[in-house]
Amino acid sequence: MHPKAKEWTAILAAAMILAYVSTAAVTQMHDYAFWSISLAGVGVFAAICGALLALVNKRAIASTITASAIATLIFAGLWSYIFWSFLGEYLSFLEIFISNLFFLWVLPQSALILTITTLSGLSGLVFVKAIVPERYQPQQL
Amino acid sequence: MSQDRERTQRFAYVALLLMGTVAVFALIMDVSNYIRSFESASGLALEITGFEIIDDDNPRALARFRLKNGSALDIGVERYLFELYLNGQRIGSSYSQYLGTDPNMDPKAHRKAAMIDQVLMPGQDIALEFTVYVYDTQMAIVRQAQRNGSLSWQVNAEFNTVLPYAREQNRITLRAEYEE
Repeated sequence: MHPKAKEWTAILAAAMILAYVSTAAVTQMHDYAFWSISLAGVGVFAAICGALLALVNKRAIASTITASAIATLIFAGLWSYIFWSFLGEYLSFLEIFISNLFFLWVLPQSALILTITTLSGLSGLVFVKAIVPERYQPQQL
Repeated sequence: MSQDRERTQRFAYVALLLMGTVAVFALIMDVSNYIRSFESASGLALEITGFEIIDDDNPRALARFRLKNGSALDIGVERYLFELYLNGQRIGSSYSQYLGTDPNMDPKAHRKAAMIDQVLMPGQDIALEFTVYVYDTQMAIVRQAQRNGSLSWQVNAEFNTVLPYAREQNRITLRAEYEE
């Protein structure tokens, strides 16, 4: 597989994991989630993803931050879609984006998710870099 | 690239891919369940089918409803609470206590009657009947309305439901009107 493709599939896989745990961590979803989780659990998963990305990708810091950013975008997009599916009769998708639901709920939650996943992901990455011998880590550019 | 490095990288990559794949399916399933569950709640409809006022020493109203599951999924209904209004004025509720003197009457009996504890299949409806004890001050409103000949009943009912895919109960408020 082309190294770039491998790098991006790893980032997307990490982003999907983080998007799922973030969505399942939201109170409203607890009763419906296949497996609900707390915000602390999101941090643990983010650390695991950061650690795995540190072992797969050469540019691990950029990969971890990108995975967190993509996960947050998926999270915000999904919740906007959920609100739109409930309120679609009354509001257009664009109107959802300029509504209080978006500014007072989706945006703060997304900021929280982005902060937790980025910081925990980077912690996991630093941990792996510190304890795993260099011969097991990808060669830096 | 050394063999150790390659093996570690492969292991981490496969772990990420496996967890990522599971996450995609779980995410789609959860969001779909959540949306379908709430859509099914909007399929519940309440209809008042009749009222009967019994104006004796122990005045009460016999209210008859019909609850219909118009959604495509099963909905569990556990119990309900309701408030009854006549021409916009509150007449009583499922909390109204029996104030009569009959020693054989259990004052809490009507609360037991508010239990449904059934799962409504798609398209299924259930007929409910409830006795509301009407206090004297509120009975005066009923008598006045009966004399004027304009009786417009309204019911605000709160149903404790277990929606499809949900583990916890949800409260759904339904309103219905009835003109005599």
